[in-house]
Amino acid sequence: MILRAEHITFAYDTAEGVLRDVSLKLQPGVVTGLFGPNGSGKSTLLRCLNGSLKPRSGHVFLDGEAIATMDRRAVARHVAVVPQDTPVDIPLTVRQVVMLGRYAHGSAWDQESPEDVRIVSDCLERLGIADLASRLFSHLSGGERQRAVIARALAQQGSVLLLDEPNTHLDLAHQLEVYRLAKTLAAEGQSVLIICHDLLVSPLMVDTAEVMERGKIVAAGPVREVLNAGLLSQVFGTRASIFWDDASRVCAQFGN
Amino acid sequence: MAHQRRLLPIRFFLPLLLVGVIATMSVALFVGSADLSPIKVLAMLGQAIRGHSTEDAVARIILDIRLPRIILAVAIGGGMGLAGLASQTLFRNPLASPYVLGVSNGAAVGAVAAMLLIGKSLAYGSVPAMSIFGGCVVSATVFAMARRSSHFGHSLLLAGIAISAFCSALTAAALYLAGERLQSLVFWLMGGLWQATWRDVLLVAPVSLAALAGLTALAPAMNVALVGERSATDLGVHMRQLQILLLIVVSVTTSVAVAVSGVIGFVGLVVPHLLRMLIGADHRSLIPASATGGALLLLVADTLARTVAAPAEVPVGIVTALVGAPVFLGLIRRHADFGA
Repeated sequence: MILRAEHITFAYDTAEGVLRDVSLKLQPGVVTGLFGPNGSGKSTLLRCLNGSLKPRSGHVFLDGEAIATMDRRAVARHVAVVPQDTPVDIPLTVRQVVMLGRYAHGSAWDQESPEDVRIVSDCLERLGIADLASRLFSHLSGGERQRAVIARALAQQGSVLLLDEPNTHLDLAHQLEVYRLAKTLAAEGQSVLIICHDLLVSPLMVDTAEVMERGKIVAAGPVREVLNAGLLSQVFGTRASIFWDDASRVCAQFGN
Repeated sequence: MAHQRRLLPIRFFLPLLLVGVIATMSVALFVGSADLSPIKVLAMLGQAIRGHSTEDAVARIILDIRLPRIILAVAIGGGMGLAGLASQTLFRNPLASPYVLGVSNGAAVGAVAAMLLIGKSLAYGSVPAMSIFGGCVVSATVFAMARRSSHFGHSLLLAGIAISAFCSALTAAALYLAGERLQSLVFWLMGGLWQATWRDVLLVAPVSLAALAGLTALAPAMNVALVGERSATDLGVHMRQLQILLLIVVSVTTSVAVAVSGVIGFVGLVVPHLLRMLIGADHRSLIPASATGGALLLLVADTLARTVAAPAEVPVGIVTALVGAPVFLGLIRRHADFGA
């Protein structure tokens, strides 16, 4: 499915605009990286993209249908979100947490179906946490929790996946795993957006880049063209350069 | 494994609770300040069931005093268990109860005002009506204060605490001005079922049953709400709608209970919390278990309240806390690492 934002503006209460005339298109088969310094509006944009925040002006369309007019469940059947932070004190087991991803597919009176159980087991397997299924979520390490939350998003079986800095709590091996998973899901036809913080691993793993600065998208396009020294220095306010060696190698230079 | 959770399976636990309620109901029918032998009671019940007229004193004690009181205890206890669970889910806080929302105190203000201004003997409906009015005014105010906040749950909690304190002050002022009616008001505020009638049963039971049905329908969404407002929205729950529905369940159930029995503490707080430790946090199990558990606790407490010092009555709120607190503390000790 194609998720398209058109001329979105957003502001919290009376504060200065957090998003200013943002347009963006996520396409099936493509992993898009969203780059930008802290406070540039990346997470707010992500929340507008799944309709949980209502823009002051502009629209978000899912395959042509305005997301603002869709029921929350219908949105969740198509768009899954991995949030930046998840409360730790959830009194459920890992399997139960992942099962919550199936909520949008059930009716109010439903018990989970054998199909739900199979999907949840697959997702646990895919994130390598099947052996943690009956542990309490609150007893997991930060990295394990993050993988459980990603598994929950997969259990939604949507066609758009939005990840807000999914690698914050993950070690390098698991970071790479998440990126590979994103690529696999894109290859399976999903549209994927990842908010990225690191400039070493992520440029290699995403297909296109969108760069935000103070609520605006200031550059967009193929990642190798967009993430150049001039733009990075301008956006992050520090000297930073990325040198592309070949398709699988990137060197970075920061500061002086 | 140390972190593996060992829980009681609900398919055994719920029937166990139900059997507990039925057994306690049976025992409660036979005990009381009037010393009636079980044979007399059974004979009378047999007559009543066969449709024979039962105008004697035994029949009056059983059919008009004990039976409505027992059923009322079940209905109120069940409703309070549900209201407690709904508020804990609403606030994502296992220590929440209808009290922190201010609903209990609001309902109490309404009822006390009715008693002082109108006089309880005037009309049956005045105290419950004013109590429900007080409870609903408080929840509407709390809701209106929190409505615009992006952290609805937290704002609701803060507004509730403030309004609850305000209502406590109003009640205290009313007591200060109550004069010779002070003692009866204080006794009423402590909570009790000694004035139970079939009219009370007809008021409370449908509300508690409706709360049970309503929450059962909301159970999957309540499960999702455990992950927090933002994530629950992402997963497809219309959180504002859910919060309003839970607020309505808590307000109406609590106001109706306060209207007929005064402020009975502890049941709404302790029952859902205790059951969460025993059977886990899945609302599909927790909802029927909280209703049954609340009914059981209040029924046991009320039966003790009217028998331990018979013919005198102990306010049931004292008994719920005296019986409930040690059990609760014991469970916290055993399940300390599980938390909630």
